[in-house]
Amino acid sequence: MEIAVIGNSDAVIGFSLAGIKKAYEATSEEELVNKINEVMADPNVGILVLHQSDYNRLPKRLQSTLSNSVRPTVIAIGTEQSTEMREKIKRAIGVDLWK
Amino acid sequence: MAVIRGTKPTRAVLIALRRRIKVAQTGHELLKMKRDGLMIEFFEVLNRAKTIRQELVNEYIRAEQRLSLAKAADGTIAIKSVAFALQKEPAVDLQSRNIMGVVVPKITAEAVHKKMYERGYGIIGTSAAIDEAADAYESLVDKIITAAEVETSLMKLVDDIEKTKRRVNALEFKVIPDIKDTIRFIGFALEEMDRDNIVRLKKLKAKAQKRAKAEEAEKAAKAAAEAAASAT
Repeated sequence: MEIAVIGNSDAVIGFSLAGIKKAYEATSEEELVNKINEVMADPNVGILVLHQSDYNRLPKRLQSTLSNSVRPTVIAIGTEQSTEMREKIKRAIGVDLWK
Repeated sequence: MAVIRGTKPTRAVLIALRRRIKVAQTGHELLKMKRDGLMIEFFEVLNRAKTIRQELVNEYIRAEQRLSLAKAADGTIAIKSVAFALQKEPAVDLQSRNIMGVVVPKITAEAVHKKMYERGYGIIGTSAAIDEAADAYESLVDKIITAAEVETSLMKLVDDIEKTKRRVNALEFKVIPDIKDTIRFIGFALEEMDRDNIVRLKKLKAKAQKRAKAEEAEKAAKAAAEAAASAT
């Protein structure tokens, strides 16, 4: 299985340097959603890498679909922390365990 | 008292409810155990996730810096052309693992990080900046692969802990007390019916006795009259 990346041009160049062929550039929100749907439907993709800021821009519904998906597994990277995980842990356990 | 709506106070329903409460109690015990088990698993994964997230962020910052340097030194087109020359694509193997009914991904991959001469482009034709950027992104991808597994597992576990907790609480504070109340209600209703019946039977018995007595008296009176007639 392969890794797919959707992000800005820098991310695309960087990850293609690491040998990833399925690196797509998407800037506008519409492009982003379309590309994500396309990649999610691709049976050969094992991991989908998104940028955290792009991920935060997505509609909530899509976000939850992405975070619940196992195949492919979606991961958002970036310097900013995602609040989603923190909130979830707080809600489920009752205590903020994330740091 | 929260009696389940629409239950008829009959013995058959009572027996069925007793059976149900037994099932609910075993289910409650099992779910409690599942919740505790998930919690233990969750804490293990949480510690791993925290460190991996931190490493991932560091790796990401490093990779972006190296890429910017490479872009400044060689230009975007040179980097792109190098990227086209790469031969090996990182491949991952995605399997799923089952932790107490929660499906979590298990990702195995061979290391993406490669030696410089294994990458497939000429060493002489490119600058060191590109090499470093490629190097940084390769280790970033390595980190992403581990992080993807751990974070998704964490997410799934958290979701399921919440679900299980909800179920445990629903059973403990709603379903089981309701059934208990209903059983008590049916018990009272049956007792009440019993008492009704006893009173009714007593009344009937009294009536029957009265009638028997009256008949006897009549008989006695008749006998006495006959005796009197034969005497004359």
